[in-house]
Amino acid sequence: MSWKRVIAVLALTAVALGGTSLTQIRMDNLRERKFDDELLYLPNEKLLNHFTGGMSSVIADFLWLRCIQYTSQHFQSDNKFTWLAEMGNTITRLDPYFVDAYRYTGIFLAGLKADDDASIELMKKGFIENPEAWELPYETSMVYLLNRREEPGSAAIAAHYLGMAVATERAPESVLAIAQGLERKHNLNDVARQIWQDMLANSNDELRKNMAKRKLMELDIRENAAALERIAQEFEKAQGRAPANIDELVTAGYLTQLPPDPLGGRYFLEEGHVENTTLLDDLVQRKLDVVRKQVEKFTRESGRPPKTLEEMVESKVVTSTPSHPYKGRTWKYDPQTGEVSP
Amino acid sequence: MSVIETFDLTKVYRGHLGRAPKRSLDALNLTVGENELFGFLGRNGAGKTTTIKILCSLLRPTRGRAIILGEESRSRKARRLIGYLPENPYFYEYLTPRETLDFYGKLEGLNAAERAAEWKKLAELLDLGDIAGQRVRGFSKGMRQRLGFAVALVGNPPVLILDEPMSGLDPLGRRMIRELMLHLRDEKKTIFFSSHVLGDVQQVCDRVGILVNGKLTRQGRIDELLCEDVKGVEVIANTLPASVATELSGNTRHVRHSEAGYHFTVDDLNGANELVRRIHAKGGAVVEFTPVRESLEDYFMRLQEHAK
Amino acid sequence: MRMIAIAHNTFREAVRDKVLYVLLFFAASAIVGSKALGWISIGQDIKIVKDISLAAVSVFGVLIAIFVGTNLVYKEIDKRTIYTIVCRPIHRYEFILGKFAGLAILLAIVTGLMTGVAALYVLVLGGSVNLTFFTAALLIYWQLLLLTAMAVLLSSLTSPILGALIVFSAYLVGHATSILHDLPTVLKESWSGRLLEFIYYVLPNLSNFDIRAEAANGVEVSMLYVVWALGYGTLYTAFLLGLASLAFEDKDV
Repeated sequence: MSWKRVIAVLALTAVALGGTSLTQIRMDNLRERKFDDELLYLPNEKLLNHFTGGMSSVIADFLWLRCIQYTSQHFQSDNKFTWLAEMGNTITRLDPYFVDAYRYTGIFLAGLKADDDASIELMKKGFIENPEAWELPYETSMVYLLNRREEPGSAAIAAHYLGMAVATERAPESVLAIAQGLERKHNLNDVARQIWQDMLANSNDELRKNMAKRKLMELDIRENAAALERIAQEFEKAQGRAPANIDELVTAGYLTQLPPDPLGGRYFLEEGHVENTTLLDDLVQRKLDVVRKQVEKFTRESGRPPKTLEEMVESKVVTSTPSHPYKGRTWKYDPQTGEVSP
Repeated sequence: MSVIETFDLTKVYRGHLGRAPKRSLDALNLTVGENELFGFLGRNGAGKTTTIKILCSLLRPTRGRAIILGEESRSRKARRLIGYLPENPYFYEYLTPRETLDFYGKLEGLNAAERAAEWKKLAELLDLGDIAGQRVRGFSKGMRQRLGFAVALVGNPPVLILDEPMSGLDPLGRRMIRELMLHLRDEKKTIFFSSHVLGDVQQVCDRVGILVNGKLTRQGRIDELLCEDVKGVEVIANTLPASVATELSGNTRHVRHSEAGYHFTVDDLNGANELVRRIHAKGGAVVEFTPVRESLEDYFMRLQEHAK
Repeated sequence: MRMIAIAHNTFREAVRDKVLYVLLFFAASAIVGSKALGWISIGQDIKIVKDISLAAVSVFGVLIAIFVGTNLVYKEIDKRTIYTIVCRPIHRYEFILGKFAGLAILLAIVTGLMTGVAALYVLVLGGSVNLTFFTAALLIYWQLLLLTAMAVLLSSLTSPILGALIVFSAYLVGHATSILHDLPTVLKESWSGRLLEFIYYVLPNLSNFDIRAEAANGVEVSMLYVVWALGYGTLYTAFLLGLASLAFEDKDV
């Protein structure tokens, strides 16, 4: 190419791109709302999955970037976050395992938009899909603690979610500390008892009444267990040794009889703590659920059930499987069928 | 005044992806005079098409320039003066000859009436009437070549540049093209055409240029280029007994026998006249007397040998 | 005159391209089929029909511009039909502009046809179409012109497949350039931020031509904005055609 032509190309480029840039600046000022308008497309998120051509998670990432920009842009300007919840829903529908999207959209919703309903709903959706993600129940509990402080029982619900976060066994120490601190600070059992009694009194349907009844019974058991634990500690102080089993408390005269378990379980001593089979069985069911979900996830990704439960951790499909609530027991697993049982 | 003149015309094709650049044309200086039928000879790959493409502004020369009737070849004025027939011409397959000529008429800047007149003239000259409404898609090689000529002639250019106009045609088609070129020369056009078939060139050309490996080796009138001297004379005689023929062969270069009689080849005209006298003396009859001159083919072979 | 002859011929050739009819068939199916998608979401079907119709006009228009456009000049060289054209008394830029104009006319007809069908369909379904809908179609057409110019530029430089890839990437990127603009404040002051900002102004910003959201929701768009967007498109298209002409001026064919 001759010099003349190189100069012609450069001159043309400079003039044209200068012109288009000036035009662009003018247009950006004319159409500040364009970003929101783009999102008018999103409400059909149910359809979106079918039209992504197998690139759902890539599009989710892309939308997530937009979501962050959208949030920061409106945070700096008008503090209106009209489309935030829709964006969060769309992103997580495209990529249901996008924990950060649940978490931060949830935080934005509660913290910036003060829409705690949407925040809690999104994060609940998140930990149904991702039972091993401790962040989601943790943030949910924070929403109850911070946004709904004034409401009765919020602390108890917060503690409940913190418990879930701890139950994933992946939460950091600090979360554990907060959970314990919360339990000490509030008389959570009293708060919880009040919530369930309200529900029992005000519910019309059998299902909710039965659930409230059961929850109240569980509270009784929990309080009984705590009382038994205190008596066991007195025993230890007086005798200089821990009781060999729970029945020794009766034979040694600390109690006339063991308290009843209305749900048919029994109390027992385990390393200085008093446990109850009803409560532990309940925990077994919930943790079992987590393990089953993990096996399902592994099977979906690898096309076969894992050979052992440890294989799921070794192949990095999950970071850990929850331990069995009963000390010394492990999950029964059948690698042929992928069935997990307590 | 020369019609086409080139000065140091050079074309080097840039090598792609580390391949070496290829010099296709090397300092070509060519002159074609008015109303000449100029034959541009060379083997395949010698640079004939490159030269023609430069003359027709398809390629830009690496160095040098070409002048057509006093105009720089790349100028639009020069392009108005030439009609170009590419080798194996391609046209829009979905157009008919009539539409094709109309399209090129528009490119030449002719108005509707002029285009209609042009069609009438060219359709008659090239016998396109029968196929006027058919799409080019189904055309044979000969039909395409006729259409190609018509396209080259649109706008009545004084200079015609034809790339291998006779390649791929049957003998009838070649004759038609030959006659057409002679006819166009009679209409005072200058014709520059390339070929690798020597016979075609020798039959019609006034002058030739010979290209070997991108270099113009010779240009000039055919009779000037070829050795004027008689290379030998062939005398054919019959009614000669075999013994006499053997006797006469003593003074000749070569003898062979055919149905026509004995063919004697002698070195020069003196020897030939001497031979004829002796044939007559022995009672034989001379039926043919042919001086043998160098053919373009011999000359071409000599050049190629020389180039090596 | 000479340019019109080239344009006319380009149009005539493109109309014969089977790709065109395949794409038109898909576009028509998308417009008619959008009703079915409307059933899935409640109470939004007219909006969805408008959404998808305009998206179909845009996407299939772009595909036509790309598939036909990147072949325009290349095919002439490949099939050697160009030999008997550029040896004529014609400026090379006339050839480029003629080729562009031929496809531009075809795209105008195709876009107009698809928009008309979509508008009729919306009316048949009991919806209403306002001016913004047609303005959106006009801006889509302007975007197609820009992409066609880019396709013509690449067609005179490279093979159709590579050209099509580049134009298609430019289409995707061109709709996402605002990512480069809406940067976090922290980044804006840094060098990389300035570089991204620069790229934002240099790349063709195709979202300027995208007012489909407003059209589908019946939101008014200011005429001033439309005029600026048309101006932007015209400038950028002229730039690309200028480059194409310069690239083709010296090209050996």
